[in-house]
Amino acid sequence: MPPSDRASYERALRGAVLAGDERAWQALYDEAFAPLFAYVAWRCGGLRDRAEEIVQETWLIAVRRIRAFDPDRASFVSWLRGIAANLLRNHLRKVRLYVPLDGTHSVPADDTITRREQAEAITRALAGLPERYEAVLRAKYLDGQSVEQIAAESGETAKAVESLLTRARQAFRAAYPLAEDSFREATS
Amino acid sequence: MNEPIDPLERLTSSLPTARPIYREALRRETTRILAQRRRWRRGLLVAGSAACLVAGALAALALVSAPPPSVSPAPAPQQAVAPDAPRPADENPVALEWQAFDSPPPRRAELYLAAGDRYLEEAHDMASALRCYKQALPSDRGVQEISADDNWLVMALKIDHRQREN
Repeated sequence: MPPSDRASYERALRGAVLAGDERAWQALYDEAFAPLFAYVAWRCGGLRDRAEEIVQETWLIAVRRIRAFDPDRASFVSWLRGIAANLLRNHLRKVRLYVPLDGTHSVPADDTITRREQAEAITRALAGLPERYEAVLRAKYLDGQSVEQIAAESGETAKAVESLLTRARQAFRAAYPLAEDSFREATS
Repeated sequence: MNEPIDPLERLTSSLPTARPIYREALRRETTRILAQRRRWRRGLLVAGSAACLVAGALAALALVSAPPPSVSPAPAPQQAVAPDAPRPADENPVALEWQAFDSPPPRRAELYLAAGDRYLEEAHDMASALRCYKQALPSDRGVQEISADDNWLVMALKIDHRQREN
């Protein structure tokens, strides 16, 4: 759906939801649920329980603050992703898992890195990335877009996107050293 | 892409999907919140309408049951009185009679009439009232005209006086 059509469609649904139309809400819900859940699960390193918790909070906020959604600024899914990202940051801050990219992050003392710990490492690494890096990694890995598609959507050249993607990967690996080593050891 | 293992690729390939029961439960919960908010807004609307209706009814009731607005009479123009003239109401009838005696016409007739009124109404002294009225009538021509404000004794004297003149 072209962006202008998408905005018109979602504007109409938003108006109907504000008027109390439950079918309009369910239409928005059905279309956005799977992409939102995939995004949150990706940001949570594949941890289902945490993803479900964040997704639930996101939807409860969305239904109460639907008036704040502006279809001309972003799609409904993007708006939900923004809410989820904020919730995730707050969640990580509470459990002291959020580590910025300054090399001061803590690592598990145990040599055995469980799958949950790997997921935690991915969560921390993604949460510490600049927004542009996170967005290009999401477009590449989660949405499965090619460099050309990302370039067309962002209005940049393919070369610029490729460069950005490289820097984003490097930043991710810098924030994820232990997990990366673990994966290498596991597959060697 | 020459990295031996890309954790992001590995993560993407193993992402969990939402359980249908979870998805439906969340749909019901969000829809319930939406319906609850709609009912709350409708309740507010109904309450507001009812409040307006009650206020209107009370206002109408107050208008119907309120006494008619009292129209205060316009103040009667006060009769111009000379600053040095004595106020008849403040004087006793004897003093008024003496003032009348000392005053020139037409003030003289007014004071005799006032003194007669006081004798008649307050002291019920008919003789003194008659004496004052008789002194007032010949003194001024205007006073001899019969007026609706004249009491019965003054009227009778004026009629008698007119008949005698004719």
